[in-house]
Amino acid sequence: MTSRASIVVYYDVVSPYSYFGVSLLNRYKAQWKDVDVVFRPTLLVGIHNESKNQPPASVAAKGAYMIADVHQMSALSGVPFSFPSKFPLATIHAMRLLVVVQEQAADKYEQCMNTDAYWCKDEDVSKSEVLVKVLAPVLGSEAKVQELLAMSVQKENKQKLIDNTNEAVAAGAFGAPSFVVRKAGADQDDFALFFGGDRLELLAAYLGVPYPGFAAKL
Amino acid sequence: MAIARAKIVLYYDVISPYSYMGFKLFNRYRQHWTGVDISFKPMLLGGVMNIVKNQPLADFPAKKSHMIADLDRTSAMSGVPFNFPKEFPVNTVLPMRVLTALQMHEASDMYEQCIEKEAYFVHDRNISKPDVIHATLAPLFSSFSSTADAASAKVKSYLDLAVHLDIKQRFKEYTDEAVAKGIFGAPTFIINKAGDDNEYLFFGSDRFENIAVFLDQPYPGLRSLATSSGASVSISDKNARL
Repeated sequence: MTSRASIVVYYDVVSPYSYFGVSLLNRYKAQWKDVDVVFRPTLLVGIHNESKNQPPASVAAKGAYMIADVHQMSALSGVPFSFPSKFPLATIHAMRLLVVVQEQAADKYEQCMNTDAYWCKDEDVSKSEVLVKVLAPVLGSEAKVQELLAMSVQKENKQKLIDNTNEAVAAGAFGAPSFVVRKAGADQDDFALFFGGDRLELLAAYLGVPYPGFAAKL
Repeated sequence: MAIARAKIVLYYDVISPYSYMGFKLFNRYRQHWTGVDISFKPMLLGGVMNIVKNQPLADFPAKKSHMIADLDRTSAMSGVPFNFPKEFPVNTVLPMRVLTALQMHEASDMYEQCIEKEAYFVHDRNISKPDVIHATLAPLFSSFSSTADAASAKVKSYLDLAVHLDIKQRFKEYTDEAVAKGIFGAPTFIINKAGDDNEYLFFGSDRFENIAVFLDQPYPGLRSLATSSGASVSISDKNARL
């Protein structure tokens, strides 16, 4: 049993809606003092495979709408955004690295996760050298990122990313971002699954916390 | 020439639970959106999905589970009644053709009341059947008819009209028009800003906050709707659980 309300966010940096969901949640959570928020790296392609779902961009009209929708979302909410020239990217290295960072450099993890490299600056985060360049200022040095990258491909760490992904699927996830939400005092298996960067109003109501709206400048 | 007032056209199919929820929520928000012209166009969602090679989300078990939980939560928060029907999906070609005929021949408020009937997503009636359509719409017409028989005859005339070639053709045109506009699912809102010739597409019953900000209209929020209708605003565990 957990005494505080909690949100576990399953995300993948390849997903533009994960980027928005995480960015907006970061704005709102400052007002949600009694809610613990954890961001858990997952592999979206694994979630899609397991749930036999397909990425939105696999339907041409959906893909076109998604690009318009996320630009619209940026204009309306003020979350900076620029659609990258290469999409999608293989994010398995980046997500494995984030698993390591979460364990080895916990205080830097959210900063690493929230880097706008891919979704603003069009950095190809599928490449190790790009990850090194982007994260060195946050983690202290290029050598530090190299060290964590080496750890990220060890068998045990690879398995952790798979475990996170399976955990999301077991909770009912079929896409990203997915939010597993527990009220204060709820048992482990007593949770609600919310899907999408656009479900924060419902999520807030479920937890009984205020929803400021994405047009509100906090 | 650019239009003088903002305009929203909602494309819907009564097979779609999110169309139902979207329609109900939209009807409440529109009362706050006074500077906007609003209309509703029928389309065949199955036809749209075939053409654009999209798949209904209920085909995916995990998506379907989430959809029902999501709609139950939205219902609890907003006070819009909702009950997922036992038989889903059903064939909505006939009711959508009837709605096409109603759109062509009735005043907009009557047509919109016909869309808003809760037969399928509250009362679990199989609206693919002519007798169910008749029983659902006759009470609406009775308030405008001299006798119950006259109301019954009126609905019967729309059921007859629905299978005429020109209605079938009109309905098909709407569906093709939807695809041409980039629509891939329902509900979809095609929006013009005042003074702007471009059309903007918003997909889903969860885009009212976006639309409100986009058109510079107020967004009172889901919860405010329930408060104004006196419904419960708490989301129970039963509704929220998958």
